[in-house]
Amino acid sequence: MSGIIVIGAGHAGVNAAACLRKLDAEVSITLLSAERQLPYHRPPLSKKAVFDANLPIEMLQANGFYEKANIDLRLNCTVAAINPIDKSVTLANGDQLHYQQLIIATGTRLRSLPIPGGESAMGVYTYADIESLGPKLLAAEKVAIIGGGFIGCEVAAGALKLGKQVSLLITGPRALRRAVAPVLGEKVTSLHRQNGMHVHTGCKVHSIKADGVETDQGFVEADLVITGIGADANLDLAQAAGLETHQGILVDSHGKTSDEHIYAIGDVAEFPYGEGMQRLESIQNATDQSALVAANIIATRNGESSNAYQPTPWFWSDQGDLKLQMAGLGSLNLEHRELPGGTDTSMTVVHLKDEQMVAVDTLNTPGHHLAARKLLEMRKPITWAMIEDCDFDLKKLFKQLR
Amino acid sequence: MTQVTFTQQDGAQVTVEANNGEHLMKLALDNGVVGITGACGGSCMCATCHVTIDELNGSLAGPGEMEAEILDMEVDDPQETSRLCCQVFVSDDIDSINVTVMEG
Repeated sequence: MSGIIVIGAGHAGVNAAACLRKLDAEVSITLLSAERQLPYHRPPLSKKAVFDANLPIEMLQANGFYEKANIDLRLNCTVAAINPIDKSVTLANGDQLHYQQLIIATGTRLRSLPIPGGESAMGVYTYADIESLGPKLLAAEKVAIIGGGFIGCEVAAGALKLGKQVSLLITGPRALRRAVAPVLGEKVTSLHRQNGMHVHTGCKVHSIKADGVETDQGFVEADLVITGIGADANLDLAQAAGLETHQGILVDSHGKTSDEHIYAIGDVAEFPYGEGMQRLESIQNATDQSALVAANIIATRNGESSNAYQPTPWFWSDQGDLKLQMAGLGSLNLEHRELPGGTDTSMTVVHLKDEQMVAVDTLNTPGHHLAARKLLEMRKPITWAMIEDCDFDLKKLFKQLR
Repeated sequence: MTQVTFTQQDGAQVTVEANNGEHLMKLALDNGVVGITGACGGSCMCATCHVTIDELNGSLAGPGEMEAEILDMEVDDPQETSRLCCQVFVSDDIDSINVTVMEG
């Protein structure tokens, strides 16, 4: 009897399998992972693990969980093809597995740097990456990081804390240009500089040599070069199977792809959000979308109706002593207003559209972040005037409205 | 070594010996304690590793700002002894610690 196959054992894939088992004790669940380790948490890799000589790995589930839950977890197992017509997947070893429902959770892969020497730069995505990068990072004296997004900033700040001489090379005018409001990106950039990081903004990278990076601002010495220039969805299997894709695998609000027996979740899925389509790389998205799709699949199997995905996105980034937390989906195109009460190392910025709160970015201000998450989850209009009336205290506003 | 006992919502207990520096969420996950999800991987960003501390033989620092905020905002019915167990680290100062796993 064929059941449900999940391709990919990252955060979304593992959570989907666990949720499926909670909802249905009988259904056959097969979880396919191309990696050799038991499934693990990815965020700590760039936030802590790579800076620790022990290279700690944090498992998503205990060793015995999969067996106990009767989930057929196959490690080192690469999928060669999805065959929607006979509802099967072909493994790299030639085996064929049949499904009634398939969940694609293939995540993303790091972009490579298309410049001479680019292949020598190391990225941080899998545990295998930090196994090879970690010891080099500890041994290095001068480290150059290319890319000023979350991963680049996290690795740069962590390397700085280790006492390395750190150069952060950013194409844009500041760190986190697309991730947070400009005023916060500027602040983070200047805080990293105050801590002794060499942040090169507006910097175009020409080539990577054995002893550093050639840029339009001159040669940056480094005995280790790390990239954090983003990731692209792993679409190959879906595209070869004829599924509709764009930046990600296109799904409807219930998580279903253009094939009614195939779902996509997590970083790889592009879903309806607001007036458009959205792909999100986050733990919140992986957790919530996988739980919803698991419930929808079981509901469909039982002839019941399924539910739509209506997330309140949130993100976080740990950069040395800076903790950034974002609630809602901000945008450079929105209006940004800073709340009074910030300090040298803390800040709260509200993203507004027509005077209404759309998202909130915080630096070292966890109370505001959690309140913003709660306020956005209410799905009621929150105006700047309401925030002002509460003395710019988002917690107070939440407690009033709750 | 510190002896850590988790009491699950179903009453079942899991007791493990822990090394210095380990946090309780990792211990719970590694030992299959039911009810601890640890969705954020121990980054103090969610509330899926909520426990109450029932018995402590030794000394333990209280919650930090982020943890206190999460307990205040994310936990439905926080207790005096509520903690996020990803922020509770085993040390030489603790001989044994007993916690109850809370929902959500």
